Formats: sequence, structure tokens, C-alpha cells
Amino acid sequence: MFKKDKVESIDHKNLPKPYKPDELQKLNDARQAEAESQKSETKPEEKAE
Amino acid sequence: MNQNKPSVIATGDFLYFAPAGQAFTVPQAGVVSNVSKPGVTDPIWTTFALGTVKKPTQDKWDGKPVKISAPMPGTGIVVTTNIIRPTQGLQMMVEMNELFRVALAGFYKSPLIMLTDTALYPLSRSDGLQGWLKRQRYDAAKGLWITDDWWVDVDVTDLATDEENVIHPKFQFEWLYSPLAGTAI
Repeated sequence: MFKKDKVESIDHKNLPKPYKPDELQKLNDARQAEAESQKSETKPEEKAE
Repeated sequence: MNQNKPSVIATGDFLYFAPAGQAFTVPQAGVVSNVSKPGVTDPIWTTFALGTVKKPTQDKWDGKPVKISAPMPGTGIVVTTNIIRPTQGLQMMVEMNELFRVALAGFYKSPLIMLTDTALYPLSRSDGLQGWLKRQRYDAAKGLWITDDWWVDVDVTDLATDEENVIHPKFQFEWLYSPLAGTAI
């Protein structure tokens, strides 16, 4: 039901610096491209079936 | 939190939010979802900041409790022996001091507003705005006393304006099931 992962706290004295707008955009684009390439890789197999 | 004795707590709450569908890199590359939670040092927690908390309240709701009745041993008297609450939920209602893009997207029901966006489109989102909410509650004497990790649906019910014309967005977070949800004490 619940995984016994530790719940961690953010260190308020050393907060992570926010992503810059272009950094986050690049990360999201890269993840999107990766997801789409995985989809296209699986498509031919689906057709073969 | 010291569990040895009961304590009076005046709480100062801090909220961090990681919206669903956003990429993160710590502890490894992933996309925020109910089965994928960013590590505490990932910048995503502070990228979509909600602001500072003015008034934190929380609530829980139960469906109709089902009473189980049975006779007391050796008697014909039927009494309640158990109560089962099959439907349960948790909510957090929070008033914030600042206005930021998650509050705007929540109130206008627009898709999540990205850092590079210069416009939003009201009432253009039919599904909920979801994400990881990390709430850290500090008390005046002992510091951090509880940390909640909730996978939530976010709604902004009001962009209330106070007597001095300052806007205080009112967030309502509804607890949704995730196997990674938990609370550290």
C-alpha cells in the first residue's frame, strides 16, 4: 500500500535554487523527446503483431 | 519531534510544490507523478513556489461510519463492538501572502503556467492540477516538528483581498493516494 520510503525535509538554510526558465524548458523538452522516441521504437513491434 | 510528552505547538508552515509532468534530475532524472517524487535537493521544489503561509488549516472527512453491532458475550444485549470508516479523506486549506503562477493557474483553471509563458487562458483545463506538496511545520522552540509529503489535487478557491487591498490566494489541497505519500515526525 505505502512504500516505506523515508520522507525527507528540505533544508531551509540551504534551499535548492529554482530552475532557470530555459533550464526547465530544456529538461522538459528532453524528457518529451525521449518519451516520443520510446513510443516510435515500440510501434513497429505493435504493427508486426 | 519529541514524542515523549505532549507539547504546545505554535506552528510556522512552509510549503513546497512540485507539479505533475515536470522534469526533475535528483536523485535521478524523472517526471513528477504519483509514483515518482523528486529528491529534496532538486530545484523543482522552489521553481513553482507558492509563497509564504498566512493561515494554515487542515481538515479530514469521513464517509458515513458503519457501526458493527453484536451481543455482549453471554447476554442478549446488542451493543456496538466496532466502527468501520471505509471512506476517508484529508484536506489542507491554506491562505498565502503572495500571488504566483500556481495560484493564477489554480484560480483561472488554466494549464500550469511555465516560467516563459506571457499569457494564460482561463477555463481551458478540464482535469485537475496535481503534484507533490511538501509541508514543513516548525514550532517556535524545537524547530521542525513534522514534514508531510502529500500527492494532491490543487484548487484555488479564492483570490481574496484583505482590508489593505493585499491579495491572499486560498489554496485547497485534497490528499490523493500515492504509495510514496508519508509523514516524518
